[in-house]
Amino acid sequence: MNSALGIVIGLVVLSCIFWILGAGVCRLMGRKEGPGFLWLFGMALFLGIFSVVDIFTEAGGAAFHVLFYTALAVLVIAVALGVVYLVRAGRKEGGSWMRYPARDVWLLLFLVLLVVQIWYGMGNQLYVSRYDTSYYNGNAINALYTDTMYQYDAYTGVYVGKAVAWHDSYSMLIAFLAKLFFMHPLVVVNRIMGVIEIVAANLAVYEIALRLSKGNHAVAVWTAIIRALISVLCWNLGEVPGYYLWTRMAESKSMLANVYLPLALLAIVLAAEETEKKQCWIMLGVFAFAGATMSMSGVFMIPMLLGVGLLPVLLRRKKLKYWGYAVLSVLPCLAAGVLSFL
Amino acid sequence: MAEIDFFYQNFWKYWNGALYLVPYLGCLVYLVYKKDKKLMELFVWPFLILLATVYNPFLMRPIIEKMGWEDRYMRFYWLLPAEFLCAYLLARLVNRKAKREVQFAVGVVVLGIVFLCGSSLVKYIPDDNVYKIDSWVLETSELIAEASKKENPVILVDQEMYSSIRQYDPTVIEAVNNTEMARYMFTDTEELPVDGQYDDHSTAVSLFVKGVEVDASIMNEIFAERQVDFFVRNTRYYSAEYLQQLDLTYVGAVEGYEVYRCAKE
Repeated sequence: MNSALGIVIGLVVLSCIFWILGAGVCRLMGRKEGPGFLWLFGMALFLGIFSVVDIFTEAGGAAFHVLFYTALAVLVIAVALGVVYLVRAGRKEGGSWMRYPARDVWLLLFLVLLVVQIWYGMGNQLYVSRYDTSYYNGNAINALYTDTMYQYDAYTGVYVGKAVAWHDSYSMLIAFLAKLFFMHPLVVVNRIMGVIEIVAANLAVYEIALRLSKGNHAVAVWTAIIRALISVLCWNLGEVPGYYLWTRMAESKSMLANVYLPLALLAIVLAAEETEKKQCWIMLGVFAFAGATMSMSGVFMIPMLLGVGLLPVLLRRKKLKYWGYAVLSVLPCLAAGVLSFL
Repeated sequence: MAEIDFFYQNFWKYWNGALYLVPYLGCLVYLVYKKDKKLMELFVWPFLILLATVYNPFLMRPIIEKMGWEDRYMRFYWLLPAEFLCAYLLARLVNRKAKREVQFAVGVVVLGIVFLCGSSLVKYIPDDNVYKIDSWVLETSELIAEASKKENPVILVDQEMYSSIRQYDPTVIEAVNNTEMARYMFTDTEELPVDGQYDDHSTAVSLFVKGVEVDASIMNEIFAERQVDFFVRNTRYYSAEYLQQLDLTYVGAVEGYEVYRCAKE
């Protein structure tokens, strides 16, 4: 499966899983969203579900295959439930529960924008920190080769018992996907996760702009185009998110800067616009949890962003119950952070 | 003043060139000027809160020291959606209710400015393989696998190979640990304390992986002591005369590297 066809199959399968999970949960909450948002929300759900299984399996000191089969079983059940639920909903409502994108020139432009960035990112081998990736990818490949988790030194391959004090779930996610798709972990990281990062980063920008501009597709697509141009053309002008996207693609900190933090911002925008709806706070909780468990820096950065982003929103609404919603939605993310350090 | 200096250094390292910072601050001022309540709530107030907390040197310095975040502090600037806000307000400018020609002209000017500011595309290295890793890593791994009689051969490599080969090949075991490899990682070759090779084997191996021609008898002892099966030589390092003094047998070569078995035949 270490081929272009294998990568396409992997991306299609993952996109279907993301979409089914996102669509299923949004439908369950009675929320009508577009396919882009469903994909993003489904990705966060996927990462969140995997992280929960990973945290408990690692706490039990189990072998890697236990994590693999448990996560696989949980995800298969979740996706199967989603399919059954969506088919039933489709029969009843004829698919009217989803917001379909307008098939216009803006959609075409957005798709072209994605293709150009994927082509640039996939064709460029520029990488500035092999030393860091040898740690992340070393842990993933050790898990596959030795059927253990974090017991062998990522750099040397020597057995050390407990190789790291603190870590996120990202390395084990790479190992999980590599085993699932019969791929080398480097192909999973540099191709599958690379494409997912590019698509998610652009979709997040598009979705935030769409909401701020009250559904104006032209503004949303222009925002995505200008942001992408700044990102591709000017990433070397500082240690900005674009720098991490194009020179350290699909590292967990690159995902944090380009995907998880923008998703947290999207959740803040949702909470600001629909503060009274509980579903917005649930989605905020899902985005925050996924980001915090998939990146060690996310454990601090995401609650911090949510804190400073939500404070003005909560102060303006002046209702105690919103403070309760905010605390409850950030709680899983904080709990995951505490568990990571135990 | 040490506090200010740390934050000053981080600030300029992150906002290098200020391409993002100046337009970003301009966008924030524009939102205040326009009294756009919604966007002020989402972008201006969080910026001010961050300014008073996370970007406040006097408040953050003790926290950073306590948490050991010195090398990670710059990441707190990711909390500012600078790229997004600039792009969004420019997109609104392009899409404002004006004649199509005006919209087009504004669009061209905006894209032109971004294009002229950028030079990242110059840094483009076409990839060689599906793994997105240098081909010499794959070829070295194959050479070792073909020549090895053990399932997990122990190898001794330089820093560049050290950071790459185990990402691709989990069967190899590195003879040098991470502390030894990182000891002189950021030290210039001219400034390496070469006499340290006589202190202990750990220091000697740290110098050797940086290309220092450590006393051959010491290196032969290290090869035997650490049961090194293969030595992967970066061809920029070590003279032919020096290599002849080591207990090595040539196996093969790839671009930039030569593989030796650690035993004289």
